[in-house]
Amino acid sequence: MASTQRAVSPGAALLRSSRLFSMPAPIAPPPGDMSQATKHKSETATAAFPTHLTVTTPSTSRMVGDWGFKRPLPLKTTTKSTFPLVRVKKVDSIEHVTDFQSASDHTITLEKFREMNLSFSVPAPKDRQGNPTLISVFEESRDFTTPAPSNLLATPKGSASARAIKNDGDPLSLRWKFRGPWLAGMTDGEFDRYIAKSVRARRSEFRQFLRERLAAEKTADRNSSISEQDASTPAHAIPPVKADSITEEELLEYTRGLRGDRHELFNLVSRFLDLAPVSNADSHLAPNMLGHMIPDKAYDLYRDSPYASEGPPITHPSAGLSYLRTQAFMENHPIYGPQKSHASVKARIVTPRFGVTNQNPKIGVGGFIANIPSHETQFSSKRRHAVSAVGSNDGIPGLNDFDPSQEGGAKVYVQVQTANVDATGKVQIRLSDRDLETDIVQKELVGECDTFGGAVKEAAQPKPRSQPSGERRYTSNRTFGSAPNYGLGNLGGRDF
Amino acid sequence: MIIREFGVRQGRKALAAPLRRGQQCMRALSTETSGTPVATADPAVEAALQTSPENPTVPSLFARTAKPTRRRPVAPDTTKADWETAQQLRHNLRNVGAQVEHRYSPSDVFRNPPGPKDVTLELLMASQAHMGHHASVWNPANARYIYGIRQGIHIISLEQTAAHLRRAARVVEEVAYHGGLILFVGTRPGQTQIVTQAARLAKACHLFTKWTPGTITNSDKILPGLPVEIVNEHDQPVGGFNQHLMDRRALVPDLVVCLNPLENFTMLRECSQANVPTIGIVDTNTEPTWVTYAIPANDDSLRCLAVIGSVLGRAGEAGQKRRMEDAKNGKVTWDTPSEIKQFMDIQQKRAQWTKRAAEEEAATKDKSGGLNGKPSSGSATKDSEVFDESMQKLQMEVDAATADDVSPQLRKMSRRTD
Amino acid sequence: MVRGPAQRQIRPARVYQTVTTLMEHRIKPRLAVQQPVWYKVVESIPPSEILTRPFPPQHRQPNPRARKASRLFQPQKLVYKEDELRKKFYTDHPWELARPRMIIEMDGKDALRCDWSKGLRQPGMPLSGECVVQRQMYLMENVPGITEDTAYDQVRKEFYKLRQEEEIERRIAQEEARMVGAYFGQTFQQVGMKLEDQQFERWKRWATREIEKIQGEQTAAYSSFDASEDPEAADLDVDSLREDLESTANTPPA
Repeated sequence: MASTQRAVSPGAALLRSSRLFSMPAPIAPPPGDMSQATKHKSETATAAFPTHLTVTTPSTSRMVGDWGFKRPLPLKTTTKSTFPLVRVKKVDSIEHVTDFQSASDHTITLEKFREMNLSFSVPAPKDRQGNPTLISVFEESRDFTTPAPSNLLATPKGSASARAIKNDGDPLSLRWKFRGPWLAGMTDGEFDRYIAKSVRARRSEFRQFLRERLAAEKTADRNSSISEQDASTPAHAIPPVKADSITEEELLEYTRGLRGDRHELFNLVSRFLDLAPVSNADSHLAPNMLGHMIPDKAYDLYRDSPYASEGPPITHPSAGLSYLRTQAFMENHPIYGPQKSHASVKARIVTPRFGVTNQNPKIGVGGFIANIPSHETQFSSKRRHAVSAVGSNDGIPGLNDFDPSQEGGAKVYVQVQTANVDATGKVQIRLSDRDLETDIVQKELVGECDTFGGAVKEAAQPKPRSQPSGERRYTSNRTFGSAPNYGLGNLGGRDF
Repeated sequence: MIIREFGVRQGRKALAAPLRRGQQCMRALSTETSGTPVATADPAVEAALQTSPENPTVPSLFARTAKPTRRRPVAPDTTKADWETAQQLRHNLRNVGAQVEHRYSPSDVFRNPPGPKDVTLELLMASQAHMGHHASVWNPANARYIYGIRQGIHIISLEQTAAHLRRAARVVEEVAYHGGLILFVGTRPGQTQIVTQAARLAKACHLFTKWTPGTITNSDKILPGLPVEIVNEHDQPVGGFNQHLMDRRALVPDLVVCLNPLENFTMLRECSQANVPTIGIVDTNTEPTWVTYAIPANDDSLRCLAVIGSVLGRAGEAGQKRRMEDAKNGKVTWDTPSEIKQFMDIQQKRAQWTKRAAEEEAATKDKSGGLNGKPSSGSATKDSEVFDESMQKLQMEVDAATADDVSPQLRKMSRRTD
Repeated sequence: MVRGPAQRQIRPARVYQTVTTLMEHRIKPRLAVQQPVWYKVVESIPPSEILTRPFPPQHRQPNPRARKASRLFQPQKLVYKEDELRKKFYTDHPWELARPRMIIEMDGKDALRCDWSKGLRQPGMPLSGECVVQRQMYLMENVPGITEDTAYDQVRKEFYKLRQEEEIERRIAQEEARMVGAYFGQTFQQVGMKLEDQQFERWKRWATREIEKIQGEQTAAYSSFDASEDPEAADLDVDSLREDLESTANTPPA
C-alpha cells in the first residue's frame, strides 16, 4: 500500500485514525436461499446477521441529532426509541441526505441472546441421537486459520503423524476456514470457473509440491531402512533428500502411481488447494469400505470434519455472537441457591405442528428460530387439545394446534442447550427437554407464578384458615422485577 | 368555564386512579390556595377543611359537585423527604466509583467558545469539518481543498481548513480593529445560536432569516429611516447629527461572513456589487468564487459551523478589544466617513457664518452706539468649540455595547423578514 | 435538493483591485471615493488562489501498464491496509457489527491515548473489532517475521479471551446483585415478548375483522343470488322437491 509507506501530513494521519475512517465497510449479506425465490418470502424479515455497523451516540448529542456524520440526523425519527441505535448506509448521497435506518433489530437480538448465556459448540453429526459431547468452537485445536507450514505438506504414509491422524482425525480438517472452496457446494459453472481461474495457473507449483512430497517420503523411507540396519546411527544425522535432487523420471513415476490411488491423489490435491473437507459418508464415488480394509493405509478423509456434510460456515463458527466456551456453570438463585439446570427461557411457538402437514413446530427463542429437539421429548407428544396442567406430561398448549384464544400467542418455557452457525451464517439453537421445576423457578422470578411466597404464607397462617396458594391467578399487568415477584413480597403478610 | 368542566370531568377519573395521582391532579386544578397539604383523598373533607370558620370561602365547583368517595387509608405524602434522601444519598455517593472524564458536550462550544488560538486539526476533525459531499456532486473548483474520497464522500484536507480558517479569522480581527461593520449570516435552521453568538462576541450584526433581496443594492427603498447612531472612538454616542441622520443613506457592512453561501447567492452577489469582501464556508459542492475568502469545511454539520462561527467571533472580539485599547491611548484606527466629514464641514462653515453675522451685527450695533464693549457671542463660540472637538474623529458605528443589541439598521433587516 | 450549475463569479475575489481602480480613476472628478475600512486588511491578507487545477494527492500506486492517464485531476479513494483487516474480521464475526460503537468524536485525540503494544484494552475505548484490527496492524509492523494470518490468529484469541471475561463478569455481577437484594427491570427478552404480544393481538383483531368481512360478503352474495332468481321458479323447484320427497317417503321399501 502506497499510503502506509509514504510520510503523510499530520492531518492525513489524524484522519486515518479517526473514528469515521475506522468504520468497517459493509460486509456481504448472507446468501439467499435460492429455493425460496418462488416461495413466499418476507421483505421485512431480519437478515441472518448484520452487514452494517451499529452506531450510537451520547444522549446529549442525540438531542441535537449529532451522530458523528456529515449532517445531523432528523430528530423526529432518531429520538423516539429507547436506545440510540442507527446504521448508516450512506454518509451522503446525491440527494444530499444521509441514508440511515434503525439498527435495533440486530442489536436487540444480540442483547436477547446474551441474556441466555449460551455458548457456541461445534455442530454434532446429524445422525447421532441424544446429547452428544459439546465441543467449544474456541478450542485451540480447532480454532486456527494458519496451519504451520510443515502441516500443509501432506503427511507421508506410515509416519507417526499419519498414525495419529488415523486415531484423532486430521487436525487440518477440523478448521473452519479454508482457502479453497467447498467442492460439494459448488455448481457446475462455479466449478468450471474455479478450475479455469484458480487451478489451471498453478500447475508448475503443484509439480514442485509433488517433488517436495516425494522427497519427504524418500527421506522417511531411507531413515526407516537405516534405523532397521543400524540402530546406532541417528536418523536425523543424515541430511534429508532435497526436492531439487528428484529427477523428472522419478517424478513421472510417482505421478503415475498417484493416478492409480485416487484417495491419495485427492488428499494431495485438497492439501495443495486447501480445499474444505468433503463428507465421504454418503459418497458413492469414494470406495470407503474398501479403503478401510486395506491394512496400513491412512486416509485423511476417514475422520470427517464437522463441517464436511453441510460445508464450512461463512463466518467464524461463533459468528461473534457469544464468546462463552461452555455451558458447564451453575446458576445461583437468590433464594433457592445453586440450580441444577440453567434458567429456562420463555419462547414463542411460532409455527405449531399442524395436523395435516405434520411439519415440525418452530419455536422462537430470543429472536432466533429453533427446531424442537429431534429425539423423544415432551415436545414430541402429538396429542391434540392437550390438557395444560403444570406438572403433567400431557403436552404443551399451542404446540400442536394454533390456538387463537391464547392472549399474545402460545408460549413455552424451554431449555436451551447450545448453538452453532450453519453454512449460510444462520444461528441454529438446539433445545433440550423441558425441566418443569426449572420452569417454575424462572416463572416465579418474572412474576408469573408464586411458589415460595405462597408456601411461606401457608406456613405462617394458622392451619384451619389456610387457603391453597395455587388458586391465585396472576394477571399479566404485574410489574416485573419487584419484591413480590421474587417471592419476597408476601413475607410480611401484606396483601398486594 | 371550560377549565372548570374539565375539572369536574377529569377529577372523577383522577379520583378513580391511584391515590397520589389523584392528589396531584387536585392540587393542580384547585384555584384556591390551600395552606398545608392535607393528607386526604376525599374532596368533600378537603372542602370542609377549606370552609373553616376563620376562612369562610365558598367551596369550588369541583369540591361541591364531587361526591364523597369511599374512605381509604391514606399514606402520608413523603415526596419531599424522599427527594431529600435521594439528594443526600447522591451527595454521599458522589465520590464513589469511577470518575467519568468530561471530554465533550455539544454545549461546550457555546459555554466556552474556542478562539483562533484553539484551532487544531483535532478540533476540526472532531467537529466533522472534513466531511464533504457525495463524490458525484462535487464542484471541481474545490479540487484544491480535497484530500481524497472515503465512504463515498469527499474528504476535505484538514490543513487547508485550518489555514483558511486562520486567515479568515485574521481578516475578521483586522476589520474589527479598523472599526468595520461585520455581518454574520446563517440562514439555515439551527444556525441561529451560532450566528448570534458570533455576532455578540465580535460586536457585529447577525442575520438568521431570509436575506431580503436588495437590502444593499436597493437599500433606499428597503431600509429607509431606520435609527442610526453616531459614536466616537470610545463607542460613546455623539449628538448633533440629527439632520445628517435624517437624510443619509443606509449602512453597508464592511465584511460579511456567510455560513451557507449556497442559499445566499443573492446576498453574496449584492456584496460583490457593493465591493464588500465576504467570507464563506465552502463545502465541496459550493462554488468557491462566490466569496472573497473561502473556508473549506463541512457546511451541514452544526458542530462544525459552531466551531467556525465561534472562532471568527472570538477573532472579532480580539479586534474590538485592541481597538478600544488603542482608543484609550489616543490612537484612532479609522477615518471619519466622507459623508460625515462633508456634513461636518458644512456645519462648521455655517457656524462660522453665523459667528460672522453676529459680529457684523454687533459691529453695526456698536456703531449705532451700543452698550457692551465686548461682543456677546461667547456662548456660541464655546458651543462651536465643543462641537469641533467632538467632531475630530467620528464615525457612524454600531452601538453594540450591550450583548443583544445589533445595528438598528441590520435589526431592521431581520425584522422585515419575520 | 437539485441545484443548477453554479455560476462562477469574478468580482468577489477581485474586490481589492476593483476598489483600487475606483480610487485611482475618478469617474466623477469632484467626488472622491473614500478608502474602505477593509482596504488595508485585504491588501495585507490577500484571498487564496483557487482557479488553478491542482494535481490531487495520490493514494494509489500508479499502474505501470496504463497507457493513458485516467482521472488525473480527480481526487482518489483513500484505501488503507486496515481496511482489508477490518473486512476480514467483520466477515468472520458479523455479529460484532451489532455491538454499537460511537462514531462521534469527543476531542479527536483517541489515537494519542492508545498504545497497541500493551494489548487490546485501551483507555477511553471500549473493546471492539477496531481494537483487534489496530493490534493486528501493530503486530504486523513491529514483530519481525509475523504474517498477517498469524497475527490475526493471535489477536483474535486475545480478543476472545477478553470478551469471554466480559460475558462471565456480566452474569456473575447480576447474580451477586440479586443475592444482595437488587431488582432489575424487564429484560430485553421480556420487553421483546411484550412487543410481540401486542403485534400478535393486533394481527388477531385484523384477522377477525377480515374473516367477518369475508363472511359478510359471502352471505351478501347468497342473498343477492336468491333475490336475483325468479321467486316462482325457486318455489316451483322447492315444490317439486317436496313432491319427490313425499313420493319417496310414501313408496314402501322393496
